[in-house]
Amino acid sequence: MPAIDIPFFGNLALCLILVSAAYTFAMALGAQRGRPHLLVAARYGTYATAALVVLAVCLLAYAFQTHDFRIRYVARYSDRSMTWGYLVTALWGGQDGSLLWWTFLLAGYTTACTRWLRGRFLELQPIVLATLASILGFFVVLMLFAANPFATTVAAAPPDGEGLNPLLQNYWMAIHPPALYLGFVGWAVPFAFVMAALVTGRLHDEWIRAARLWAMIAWVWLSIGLLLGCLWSYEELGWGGYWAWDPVENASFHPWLVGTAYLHSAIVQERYGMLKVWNVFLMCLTFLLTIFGTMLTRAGLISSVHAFARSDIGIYFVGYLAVMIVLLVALTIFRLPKLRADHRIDSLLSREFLFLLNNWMLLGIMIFVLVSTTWPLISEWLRGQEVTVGPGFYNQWMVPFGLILLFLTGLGPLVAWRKATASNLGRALIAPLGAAALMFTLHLALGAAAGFPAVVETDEIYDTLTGRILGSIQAVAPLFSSTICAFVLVGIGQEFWRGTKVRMKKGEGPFTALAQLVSRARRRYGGYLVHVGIVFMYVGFTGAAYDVEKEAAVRPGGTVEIADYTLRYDRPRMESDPNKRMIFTDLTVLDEDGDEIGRVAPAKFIYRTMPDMPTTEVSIRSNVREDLYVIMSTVDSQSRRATFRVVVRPLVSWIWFGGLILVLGSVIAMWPQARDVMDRQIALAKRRRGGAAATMLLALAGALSLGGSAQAQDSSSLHAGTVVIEDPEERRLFGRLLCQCGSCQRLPLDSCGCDWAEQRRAELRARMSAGEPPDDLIAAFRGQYGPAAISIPSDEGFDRAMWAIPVALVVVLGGGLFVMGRRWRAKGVVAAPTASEKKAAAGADEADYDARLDEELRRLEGDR
Amino acid sequence: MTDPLPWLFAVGACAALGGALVALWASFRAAFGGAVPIELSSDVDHDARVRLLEEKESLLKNLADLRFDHEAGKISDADFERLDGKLRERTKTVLRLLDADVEPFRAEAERLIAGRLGGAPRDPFREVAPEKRESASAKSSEESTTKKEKKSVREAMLAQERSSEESTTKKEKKEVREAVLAAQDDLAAASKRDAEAPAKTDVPKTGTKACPSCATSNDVDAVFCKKCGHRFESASEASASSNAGDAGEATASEGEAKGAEEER
Repeated sequence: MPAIDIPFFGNLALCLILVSAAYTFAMALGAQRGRPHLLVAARYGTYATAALVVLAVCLLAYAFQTHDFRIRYVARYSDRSMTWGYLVTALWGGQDGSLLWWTFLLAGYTTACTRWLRGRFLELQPIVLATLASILGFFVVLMLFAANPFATTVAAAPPDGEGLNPLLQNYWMAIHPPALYLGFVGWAVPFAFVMAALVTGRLHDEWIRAARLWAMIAWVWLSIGLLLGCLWSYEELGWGGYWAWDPVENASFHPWLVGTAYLHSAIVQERYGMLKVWNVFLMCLTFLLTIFGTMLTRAGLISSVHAFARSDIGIYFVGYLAVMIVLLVALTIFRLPKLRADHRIDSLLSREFLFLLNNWMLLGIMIFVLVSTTWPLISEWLRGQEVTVGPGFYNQWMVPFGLILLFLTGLGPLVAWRKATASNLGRALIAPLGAAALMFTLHLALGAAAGFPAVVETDEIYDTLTGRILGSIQAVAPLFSSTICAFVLVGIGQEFWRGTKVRMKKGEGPFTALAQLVSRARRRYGGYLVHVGIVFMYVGFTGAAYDVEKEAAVRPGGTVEIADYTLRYDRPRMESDPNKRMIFTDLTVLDEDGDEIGRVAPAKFIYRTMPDMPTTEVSIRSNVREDLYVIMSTVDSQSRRATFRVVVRPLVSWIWFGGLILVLGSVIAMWPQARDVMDRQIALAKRRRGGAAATMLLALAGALSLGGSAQAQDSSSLHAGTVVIEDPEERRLFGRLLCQCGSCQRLPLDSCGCDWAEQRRAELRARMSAGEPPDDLIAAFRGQYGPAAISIPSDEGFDRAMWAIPVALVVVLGGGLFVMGRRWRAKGVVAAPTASEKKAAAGADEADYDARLDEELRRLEGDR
Repeated sequence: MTDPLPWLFAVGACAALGGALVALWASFRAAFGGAVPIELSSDVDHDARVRLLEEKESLLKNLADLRFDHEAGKISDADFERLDGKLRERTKTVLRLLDADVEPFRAEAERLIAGRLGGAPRDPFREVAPEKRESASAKSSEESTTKKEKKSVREAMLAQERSSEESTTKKEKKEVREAVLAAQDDLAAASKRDAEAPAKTDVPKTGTKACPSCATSNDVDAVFCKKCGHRFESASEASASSNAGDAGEATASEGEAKGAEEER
């Protein structure tokens, strides 16, 4: 291969990107003053900037493929044994490269948006392009000054690199980070539209319509990224779960929650000119949360298994966030007169108001998770005390929030826009409530027999009244979850049926009517389908209440019995390839009658480059009812004795199925209407659609074809999943206490396999056997190792504020909504006519305008 | 065999660099002068009109949603009637405002169309077809008579007011006052006659006619339908005051009309 000075050309490319982005920014700002030639210049500047980003990416990829270990980043995240696929994915295996990946995706979005805009929204275009150029410029500045992917090693180039973390060398990790980044980065485009609206003062629904498609694209990719992350966690990490409420996971969840709220309230602004300030706030908040989430992954502010190494990059993000917040607040205050609502809510019994309630709950959940995620920082800052907020805390608190949100999801579609008549709503509620009552009764009566009891035993996270209330809610959560799921599903089905009936009155057959119904109102019915997906996912989440778990150490021929399964350990076997040794343990799965129903082979992979970090390869046997999840913890090469952890997880596959439905519904909702395509500039519309579709396809192809990871992990998998605990009491206790060995990411004692954790477990077992209650042991552990050693902060003193403040906010905001709603609805449906409007109306031909209005309605309905 | 992937990235880098240079060149040409065509939307940037159009679309969607919800049984007949009525009123107001806003542009469009079809630009408000000249002249003649009448009455009023100032006796003042009042009455009557006098054109200006294509009501002297653009072919529908579609015919100018008035 020809010798190319990659570090030099790479740094040069970064500098050129910065210059080009600055040039584009200047041209775009100049174009704002009615100079169209500068707008054209800005567009071409955007393309040039994107091309330079591609240049930088190609140079780095070339460096990886040619093992150019002069570059520090290449030496750190690759080695000569890696295949070309993982060499490509290593591009974003570390912090530096992931920033370049962020920039690359943003350049792609910017190019697609520029092509899509062409002759549309000309007044907004300049600031849209300027905003996107400025964000690009920020990330290039980060790369140039804080995390340069083309920086060279201090010493001479090593003969071989360190290689990619084995945990990152798998299929799911190959598509999760690209999808997640597409979601994160995608929110920059609708944010650019809101920025343009604020700067230009064009704050009617123009920017909402312009940003709609891009907001949906970003939301869909973020949803896919989150789902793939859950799948990766479930299938690869070997701890048995799919969501650990890790700070970085939460950081991805925040923009998803706010983005979902925005998608709902944007509809209200489009229809009725309301919630203008709120929508501006939501869109800005979503974008800022993506920057905040990006910062959390990189700045090392909060301990996380996902985090890159701690670095000083955080100050750049903090500065950027501060500048953006000040700018956005100032602009919003300046534009407040133009952000007044055109109309008011007609009734509290209306879909608009229910959307507001939905927003309230989504924001409430976001605030709760955000406060809890940053509580370790807040606690350290305010009182110098470290605390840890583990998954047990979130798992209990999220249940009541989630149930309320699910209920609102079901109620919304049943209520009419503007004003629902109470009696009509009552009739509409009969079927869903009936289904809910039926499900409630069936679950209560037959649930236990079917293996899904209505009420379950739970652990209380606090020994206070709050803990008892939460514990009670947790105990009945499966019953209420199934009830509300039935309510929502039947309600949505009823909406499809009612809409189909309306169309059938026009003479269409039932299937034609249904197809036409969905086709002409894709946004509405695609949205209903998304809700169906959410319901299925809730069913899957509910299954976690019925998990059964067992650990056992057996020799070949021995069996492990759990639920209705018997697992017979047949033999261990070893295989190898150039990169790793693989130790499999073959088990045969038998049903309760002793008949063979399948085989599983959990394994450990030991990579040659990282022999101290074997990965756990779980084996899963799935069906609609449950997953049989088998982890091989250890295997002795001499005795062939193996330790297994077996979990039966009911209803998990419903989560993945629900996710598929969610994505399908989203695609239907954002598929362009025929009317939009034929609107005004037909030729441009085709290119626009092609641009947007190309973005999607390109991103999808990129996500599926490229493998890799965006998140480096420094924690050793040696710690995870190697613990034998047979006593459920012990498991509950060890789950509350965190390992303080210093070499793991504070894993709970029930899953950390290091020597320090094993010694603590032995001590605690001894004390439990001596009769010490678990609460005393927890208190003693806290006293010895500090509050940070407990996975759930106490419900007293300052720590109580962690849940009290968000819950109080939610309650106050909810009450405030009802009070404000009553005030808003007093103004009526439409504004009173002005003097000019009265003058225009005087002497006009009423019948003519009635006819014309009817004609316009026929045209609209013909296109729907 | 040499691994092709590095070559692929090398070629990709070169292509990206080439693309960047081309784009930058096009950008510089656009910014600092060049032959890059500027393709912009032909939409008129009229902020208020855009807002009205958006409001119209929003109201129509609201009406459609309301109808759908009513047909689906979510809303009672009484509530539907009330909300539908309000929305329809507002929508019609918006339509009226849009029509009022577009009138100058419609006239300009008609002028441009007529100019293109007729070979010479015609001013629908200034230029009149030759065969209409006589009636226009007659009309301007009538108008000038009325104006002359008004002028003489006004002069009489002024003269009487001046004489009123000069007269000293009460009787004289009373007589002058009565004369002024009588002159005012005459002036008012003349103005009223002027307003009520029918236009002496071949086609009456008041009244409407229906478009044969879309049945929209148009002014009787309209040449093109205001909704679908259908051209009214019939001679009886041709207007005295709007531009005719005939090509190459000279028309009387406003100056000519004024000249006719002065001659009289």
